[in-house]
Amino acid sequence: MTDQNYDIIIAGSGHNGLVAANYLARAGLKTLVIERNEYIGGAAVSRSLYPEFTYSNCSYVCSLLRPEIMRDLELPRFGLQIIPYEGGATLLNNDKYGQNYFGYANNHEIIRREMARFSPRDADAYHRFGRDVMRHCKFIKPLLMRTPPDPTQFRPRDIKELLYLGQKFWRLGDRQMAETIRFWTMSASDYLDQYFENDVIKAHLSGTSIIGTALGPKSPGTAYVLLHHYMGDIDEAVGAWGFARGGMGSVTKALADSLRSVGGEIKAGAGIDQFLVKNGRARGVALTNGDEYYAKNIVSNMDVKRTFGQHVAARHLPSDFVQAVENYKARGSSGKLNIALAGLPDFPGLPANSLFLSGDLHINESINEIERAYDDWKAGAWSQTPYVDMLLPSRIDPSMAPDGKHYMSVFVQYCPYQLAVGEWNDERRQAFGQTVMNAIARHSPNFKSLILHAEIRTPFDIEREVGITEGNIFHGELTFDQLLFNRPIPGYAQYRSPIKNLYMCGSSTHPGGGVMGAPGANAAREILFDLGMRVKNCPGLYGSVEARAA
Amino acid sequence: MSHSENITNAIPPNCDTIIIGGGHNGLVAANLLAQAGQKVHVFEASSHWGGAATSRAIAPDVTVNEVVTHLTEWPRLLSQKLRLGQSGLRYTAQSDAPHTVLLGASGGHLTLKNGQVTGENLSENDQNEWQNFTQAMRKFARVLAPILAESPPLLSGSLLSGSLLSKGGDFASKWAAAKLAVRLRLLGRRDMREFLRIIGMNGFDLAQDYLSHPMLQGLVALEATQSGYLGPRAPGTVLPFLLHLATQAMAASSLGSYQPYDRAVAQPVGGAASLSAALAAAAERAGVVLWPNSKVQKILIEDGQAIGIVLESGTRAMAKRVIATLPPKNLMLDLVGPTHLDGGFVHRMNGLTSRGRMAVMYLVVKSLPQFTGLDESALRSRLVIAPTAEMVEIAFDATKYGKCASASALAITLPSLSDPSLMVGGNHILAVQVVGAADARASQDTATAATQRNDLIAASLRQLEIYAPGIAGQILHQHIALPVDIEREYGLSGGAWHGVDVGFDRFYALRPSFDLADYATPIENLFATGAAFHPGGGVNGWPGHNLAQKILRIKGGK
Repeated sequence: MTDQNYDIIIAGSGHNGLVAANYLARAGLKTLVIERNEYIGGAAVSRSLYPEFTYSNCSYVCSLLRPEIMRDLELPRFGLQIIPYEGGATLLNNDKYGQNYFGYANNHEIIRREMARFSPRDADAYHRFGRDVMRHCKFIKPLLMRTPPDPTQFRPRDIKELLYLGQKFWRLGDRQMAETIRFWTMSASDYLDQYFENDVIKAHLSGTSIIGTALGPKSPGTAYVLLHHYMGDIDEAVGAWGFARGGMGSVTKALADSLRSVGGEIKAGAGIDQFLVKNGRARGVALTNGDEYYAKNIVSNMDVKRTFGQHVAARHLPSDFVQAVENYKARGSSGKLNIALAGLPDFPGLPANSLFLSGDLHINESINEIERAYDDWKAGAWSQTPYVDMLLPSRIDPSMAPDGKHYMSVFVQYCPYQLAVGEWNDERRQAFGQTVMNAIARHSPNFKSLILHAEIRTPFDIEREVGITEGNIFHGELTFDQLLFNRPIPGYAQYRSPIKNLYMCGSSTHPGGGVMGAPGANAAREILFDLGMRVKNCPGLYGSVEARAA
Repeated sequence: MSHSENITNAIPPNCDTIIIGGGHNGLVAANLLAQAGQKVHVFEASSHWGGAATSRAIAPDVTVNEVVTHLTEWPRLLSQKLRLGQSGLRYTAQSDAPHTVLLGASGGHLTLKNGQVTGENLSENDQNEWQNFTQAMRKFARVLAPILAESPPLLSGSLLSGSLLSKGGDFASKWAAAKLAVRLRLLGRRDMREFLRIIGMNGFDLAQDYLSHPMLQGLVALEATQSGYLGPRAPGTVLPFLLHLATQAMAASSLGSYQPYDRAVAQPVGGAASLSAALAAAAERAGVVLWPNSKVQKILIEDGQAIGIVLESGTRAMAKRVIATLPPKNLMLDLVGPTHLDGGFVHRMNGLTSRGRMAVMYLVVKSLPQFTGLDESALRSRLVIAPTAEMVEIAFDATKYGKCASASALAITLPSLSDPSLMVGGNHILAVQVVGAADARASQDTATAATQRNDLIAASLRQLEIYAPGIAGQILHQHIALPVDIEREYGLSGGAWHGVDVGFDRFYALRPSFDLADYATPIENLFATGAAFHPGGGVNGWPGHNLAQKILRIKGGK
């Protein structure tokens, strides 16, 4: 049994845990990150599961990572390179359009031209759409790096923050205020109907509105999720997504290297059994191997359900809180296929060597089709016509696969955590994979014959490997009742918990999921606030919130 | 009514207020304004009063309140204010029957009364959960309830944008909003947090958070979606649920005594048609002039001000102000016309959606139906068939794709039992709300609508047969009104109760849009109200009441 003392222990080496660790270590605190798996990174990892191939086997794109965090933590210096997508496409294979495609590029003119092929009216509407989405992004973006106020408290900082929000909102003007509320609460389908008429265009644009959520495009609240994915900041181009060179593991590797450079420690292969609590204060962690580590402050990068449902004894928690944790909704809805291919698959619908091949490819031709996929999920089955977001990262970053071969990342929705027919087993996992591969093969006749290896991951597998409850990639639904001051638990949205010195920094805290880093940074700021400290040389951490500590 | 003759001569050159539409909200507003001394004229396109709250012959000798099957939301307070008693409105005796009975297959029914649930094989846990749930919802409904009787503030003039005393908007509505904030605050920290959590949530999750019994979950799912377009899993469906309870709370004799799911509510004798007749008669007694069969073609506008109307017959009538109670889209785009409006406003009007998905089915039966395991006394309650929340969600799935559900959630009442005046030739009637119909857009084609009607009746009867074996053999007449029928027959857009879909984005200061929420339109002296306006549809009279109050508050309102 070893005893070790630290200022800060962070449970979990996901990107948020590492971001928080970095900021805290930069403030001069003795910081330790503990990771259950042998490898670090949580859901932002690069793994080699087939010889010579590298898979980004969980998260696969990098769009939301806050630029201020990248700057503060000098991630480029530690090897992080983000390569923007050039475009993407929806592949079509139906009676109306034959084998065809709708292309989407990081270029206004190309989008307009592509839209005009399907509907000239929609091409005209795109300008209006882009402008409005941009406006919503601009409103929400500054909120990402701020701690939500608690509207039920009368503390000066909460009142101040509420006034800030109220004022910011009021400045929009009545029309824009109404539009903003509508946007936050509308369905993606209704939202897109305001601009577009063509099914293919609407289906393509609605894709981002459902990723990671257990909702269909016709469910209210999905318009906001659409935005959540548009807030990417790569090269300041709204809506642009990018690859991390070397896979998503490069993000966490850069974070880890940056952390080590300022004296932080990381211990992998060490599963946490319990957070140690004494007299209502957290004082350390007990590992499954019996070791105990002590620290003045403990930070959990795990989601709120796992943190308090599995690693804190209920007797330390108020019963209301236990109930609220139980009520917190984290629903597994996404699966993932990582495929090693012997060559580049043919897509007869796309022009040869099309630029769109270097972006994300979709295969859903209408909003109804995606909604039906959701209906299957509701019934406890994986979608028969799944929503698919597939990429060939090796087209952009040749280091991911051997010469001439390709790595394909396929994000799939919807896939339930629990099947109505019974437990997940290998046979059902294979059947799920086959459903997806067949759907892709409709658009690429030689695709199946090129498969060298396929890793099929259901929400159940993601939970088991990464530790996220139900494999929900956002650590909990991004619905209205779980956003801002309600995230994750009303009254505990400020990264603190009912246990003194135990903080949360995972994606189940504001502003939520995606490889964004904001929850980790915000949590670090709150911890430093409680310690009466401030980090120098990290302007991004404070953003516009000057003098919070004052 | 004889007024329609000689219309040109009969209309005085200048009255105070013209009201377009003789639905209940129009009549409520007319009555209140006339009581305050205004000269009010109401123009109604059809020959009857009360809009959709009326009766209709669905077969020879069979007349029923076709759309409004029961009146649990009509406030007694308004009956008094409008002096409906003097115009012949009577209430049925207060029944001691339970509020609602949830039908379980093979007789495992649950009875909801006094905020309690009883039933065979019901665990103590289920009973406690239900009690906790109704107590929490009672608190929340009472927080919301008072705003139903007040006009909403405009966003631009609201508390958000400055102090209570700032210039924008009127003081009373800001005061109402401020009181809402205070009531919320007075809930205490714990309940306030819970309120702020659930208000944006979906009915399905709310049911799962509070309740474990599938039938109780089914009820919540049904009530969260009954009046709207969405399924229970859709975020934002708790708001309509709480509004529904709040409306019932406002209908109770006092807010303090309100208890959700208490007892079957005493209703006006004769149902919706009698209420409408009383409303029309009381309005006339108050001095209102009623013009049936007078369809308004245009609103006269001069210098951006409404000065009167033109009827289809060509007759003009002038007034200091015009109130319209038709759907805002029709009002602004047809009666006013886009030439008087800015482009953004027209766009917003075009964006208003109204999608009903509830059909109303009537069955005339030879004798009282026998529901397995149910006492005759319980037939005075509302009987609900919604065995699980999943089932209610699946019923919505059909609607999403423009179809009728093969198994809908049903809410059944037997109005003739507590009110013999509603008996049809000595036979009883079952009024059945069928939640799971195709929305009106999907039934435009006559042949499709006919098929949908037959299928929905057949499917509903199949379900009823499970709970009341042999009921099919008792049926003398059957009739169903799909959303499309309700739309065509009564002018309710989309066949929906609410005129404009209810949701977070169409609530209070955003209903039906941010610039119409206070019942004033961009045209001066033109006001609008009705089901599409705060607090929404159903026969509750508040939209009409609130507008009348607002007009009387405005300086020089007389």
